[in-house]
Amino acid sequence: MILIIGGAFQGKTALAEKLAEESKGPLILNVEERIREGLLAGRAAEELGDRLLSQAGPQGVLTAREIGCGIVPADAFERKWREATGRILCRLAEKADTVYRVTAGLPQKIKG
Amino acid sequence: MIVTVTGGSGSGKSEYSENLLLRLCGEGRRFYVATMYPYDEESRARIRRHRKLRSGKGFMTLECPYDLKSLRLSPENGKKPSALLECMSNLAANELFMEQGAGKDAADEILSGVKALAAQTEHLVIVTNEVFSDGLSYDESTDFYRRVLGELNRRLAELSDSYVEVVYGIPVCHKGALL
Repeated sequence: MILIIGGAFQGKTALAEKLAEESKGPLILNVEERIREGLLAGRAAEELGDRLLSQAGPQGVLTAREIGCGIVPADAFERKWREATGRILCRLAEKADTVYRVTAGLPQKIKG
Repeated sequence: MIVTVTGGSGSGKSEYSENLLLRLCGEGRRFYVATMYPYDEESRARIRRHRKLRSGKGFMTLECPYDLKSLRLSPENGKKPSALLECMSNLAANELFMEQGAGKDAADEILSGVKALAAQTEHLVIVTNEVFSDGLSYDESTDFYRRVLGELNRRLAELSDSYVEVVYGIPVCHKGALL
């Protein structure tokens, strides 16, 4: 499993498409948005994490935007989303064989 | 040894910092300097979560929401203790916005406090926060807060032996070595 993180518009998807083609595994883009939709649908963070892990499987490639590096949002749901995304991505990063952080199209391998 | 640990929300920086301090101090006396002021249920829940996270790790907790430089840590048989200070983002907000705080002198006051703490400790791990990358514009007081925290992080990096960013549980080293 490969996890690709970084800011918005940094080239995460391009790298993920390339790596998913090589690994022949499922491509799961924008994990943070899936978490947001899941929370809005009333699902618990833990369940969302379990689901992402089983969908990805050992060959999966996932991308997520790093959303936790701003001022604490004034809105309670935004805070909940931000924190849940962080905790779930910690789980995904722990399970991943490789984690890349992409800046300006340049992947930095921070795990694996 | 002084290590500063940074990271975004939910990045795993607290757990990493606790375990780092335990690796550094071994069996020695260790304090947890808590800075969150419990002003609502959400902050109380956050405090409970952190207490649970560090339970069983042998920390003695000291509450210090402001005026860090007056904090005194008791040594153990003449030996300096170690401390985990968490975190700069709360301390900066409290010094800036609480009535008892230092106001516009927040950064200098906090830095004096950190230096006073460093002088009393064998190992000091300081937790700070990444709040600078959301691309939003803020009102004047929030912007001043970001400026203060940014300045603090730069000055902490200068006086730290290591500066580590935790990215979803993965330590990324910006200065010194990973320990």
